Amino acid sequence: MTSTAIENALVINGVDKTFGATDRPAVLQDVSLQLARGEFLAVVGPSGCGKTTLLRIIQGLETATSGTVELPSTTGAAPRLSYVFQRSSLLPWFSVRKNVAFGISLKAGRDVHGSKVARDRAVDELLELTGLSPYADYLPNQISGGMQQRVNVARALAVRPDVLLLDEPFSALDALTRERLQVDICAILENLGTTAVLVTHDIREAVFMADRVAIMSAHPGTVRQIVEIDEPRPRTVAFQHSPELAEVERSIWRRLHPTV
Amino acid sequence: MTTTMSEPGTVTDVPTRTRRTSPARRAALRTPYGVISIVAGLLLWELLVRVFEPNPLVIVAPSTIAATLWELFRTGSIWPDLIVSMQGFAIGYVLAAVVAIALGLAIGASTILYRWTNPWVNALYATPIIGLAPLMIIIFGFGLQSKVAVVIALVIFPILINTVAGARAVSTDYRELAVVYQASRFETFTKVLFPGALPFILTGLRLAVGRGLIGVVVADLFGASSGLGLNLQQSAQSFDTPNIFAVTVLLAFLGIVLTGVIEFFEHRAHRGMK
Ligand SMILES: Nc1ncnc2c1ncn2[C@@H]1O[C@H](COP(=O)(O)OP(=O)(O)OP(=O)(O)O)[C@@H](O)[C@H]1O
Ligand SMILES: [Mg+2]
Repeated sequence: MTSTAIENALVINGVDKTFGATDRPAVLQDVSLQLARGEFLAVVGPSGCGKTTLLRIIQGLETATSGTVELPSTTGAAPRLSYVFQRSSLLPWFSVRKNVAFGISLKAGRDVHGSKVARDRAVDELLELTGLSPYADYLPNQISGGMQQRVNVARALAVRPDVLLLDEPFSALDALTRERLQVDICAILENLGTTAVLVTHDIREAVFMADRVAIMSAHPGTVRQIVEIDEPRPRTVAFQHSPELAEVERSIWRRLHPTV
Repeated sequence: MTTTMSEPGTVTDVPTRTRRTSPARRAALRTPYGVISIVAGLLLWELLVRVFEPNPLVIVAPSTIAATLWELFRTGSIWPDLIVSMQGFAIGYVLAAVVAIALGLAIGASTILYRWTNPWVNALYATPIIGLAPLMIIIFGFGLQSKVAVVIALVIFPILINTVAGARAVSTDYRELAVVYQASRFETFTKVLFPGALPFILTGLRLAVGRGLIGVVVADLFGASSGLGLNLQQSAQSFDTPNIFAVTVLLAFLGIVLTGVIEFFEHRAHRGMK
């Protein structure tokens, strides 16, 4: 098998999760996923099927009841994870710029960009990319919800994560900004070789951005099917509105709504 | 309801309903009611004293208090007591604040620590610790140290209790952010917990001002070589009512100014939090 030769960046093995007493219904049951280095996996599924819980387990914010999450390292250093929360979680006492710089201003992230100059430049680039440069000195409560979400994404990218976890990062954005960010972020992740897991309700977004789309079902939350998207990356704007994409989108939609 | 007909294409002025405050209301908003109220109250006090001429041992007129204050500063006789009291207050207040904020953040950050210490903090906050003032005099003597000790004992708990509440009120999202980006313990305190708890901390600091001033005065009553409390006590022994009022007004002034300054920062901190 060739797949064993591919180097994995994230291996999730038979993860179960039950909150509280063990007689409670399982939120996640036997979830297993493997992501090759640089791979982009999207996860779609009905609300409450445990998508956020899965990401939190990967990040280590929650512990699995059983099963394992492995982050194989190539360099020997612990792989760096970063997480874009479903809710905007900007620190209200820091400006937009300081929020973006949060991760790399800490001791743990300072070495990502060698010097202070390099850190500042990286932040400037991310502000530019997310269209936030004019708002760099604003406080989070002075910018719109969509802009806040862009700051969240920029902050997560600033630490150059090996594995990026995105929990519905674009859900608060208008359609135009969303499509632009989808293209841009695809390109960045492709450039940096970042492995990514994107949780989304937007099937089109999943198909456009991901190499594979995992379809989850609820009660208990489990991965029912994985759909490969045969389209080379980086994805272009042309693919965003292509009939091929629409075709895949429809077929995934049907699998999520079997009774319709 | 009236209907206006307009020809097609003509531009009619639509009466706009801007939310404009009426001139009368704006004037009302500008009126410094607080100042007027205080001035009126003082005038009334002055008038009543002059009309009814009560026993000057019991109450004196504001003009008498003002004259006494003026004398205290003109002759400079108040300075030795004022300085030692303010030193006691400032040192005690700052030490207590530093300790209470650091300790409060640590307690607020840890559920275990919180559970163990919370009963103590609550009980001690409710305890009239001023009762221990004589003990402080025994331990620390008649000088500055005992004043500092009494101020610390009175001031530390309101700041501590508010800091703990503030740290616990910091959203889990922000704490998890610190986990995701592997903030060190110290970084979590300085970049997340302290700024998050700041509005609460400032409230604690504000409430502590009054208690601290009480502490520094009361400490003197159990024995002191100098201080505003001693000054008050001596005034009482010599039936110098104007001096009692003058020193009290001075203390009130200090309390009001300090509280006002902290309140200013408190408003700003709250505004930043949305
Ligand atoms: N801390 C918790 N304690 C108890 N139950 C929880 C906890 N967190 C999540 N759950 C439960 O786990 C289930 C899955 O929640 P989760 O947030 O992972 O869903 P989701 O797929 O992300 O949903 P959505 O698409 O609406 O964001 C829900 O039924 C929820 O009630
Ligand atoms: Mg979710």
